[in-house]
Amino acid sequence: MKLAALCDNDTAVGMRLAGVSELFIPNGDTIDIWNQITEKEDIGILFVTEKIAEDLGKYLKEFRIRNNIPIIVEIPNKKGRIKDHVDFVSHLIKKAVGIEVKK
Amino acid sequence: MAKQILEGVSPTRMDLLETRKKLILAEKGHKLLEEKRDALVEKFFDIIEKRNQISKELDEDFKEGFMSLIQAQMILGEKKVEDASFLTKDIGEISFETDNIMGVKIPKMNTDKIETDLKPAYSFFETCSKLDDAKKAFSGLLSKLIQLADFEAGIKSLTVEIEKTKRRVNVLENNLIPKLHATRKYIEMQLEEREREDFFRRKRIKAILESKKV
Repeated sequence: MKLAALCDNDTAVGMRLAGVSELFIPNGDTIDIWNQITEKEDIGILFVTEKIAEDLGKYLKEFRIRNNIPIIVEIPNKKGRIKDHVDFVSHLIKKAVGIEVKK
Repeated sequence: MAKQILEGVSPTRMDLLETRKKLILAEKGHKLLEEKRDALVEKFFDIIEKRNQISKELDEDFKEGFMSLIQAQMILGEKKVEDASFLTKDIGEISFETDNIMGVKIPKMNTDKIETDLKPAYSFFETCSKLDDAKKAFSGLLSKLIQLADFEAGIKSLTVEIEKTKRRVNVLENNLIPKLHATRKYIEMQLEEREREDFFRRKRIKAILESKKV
């Protein structure tokens, strides 16, 4: 299975340098591209920048709850992590244990 | 809340025996499930710790990588950096196996076919050292990202299982076991009451018979 990334242009250059060749760069309609990705079945890990993850919101969340593969990992973009952005895994941890586990 | 008893139970000795059996089973199951939950949570915290550490490292790496990348873009221009990035070879593919923790299936990655130290394929004459730095940073980062993905997949599967187990433990602890206790008590009291009635009736009959005899 392939590695893929859904990210902005600058992150894409970085990922490409590292050897990830399946890249999806949204310009304009994020949801359209997202639907294309969900139809693909050969993606093993999908890296999504936090900015786009936030734009996708509940689409992404529902998809992650329903599917185990692809594994979706949220990465920061060149401006760093978004403040107060609760990533999906931290949210899961909080739900399962009842407390927040500090980084 | 008044303690409820199970439905469809009549106060007979048969049902008392049945209820006792159920109670023993429920308590055994409760203990087992509690142990399972604790073991899962322990494993869970292990993974969380590893994941948090890696994600912390990654934040730093990303910062560094983007710094080099931006510098390379400043020196060479965005277009040239992008062109150079297209020349890198593909990193390869991963495959999935399943790992088993306490009966929970967790997707486990097989990264044998991944090559993390790809040689740069762009020309040395037209690029600068900052681009090399960026490439190195991102390559290192990717292998960590793959590890992170592995942990996150594990966390996800574990949370689902922990929630399920937690719910089962809670149902047993707060609902089924108190109900069974109440049912047992109810049947026992009813039986005792009936015995007392019976005893009293016999005494009474005896007294009547004796008074008639005289």
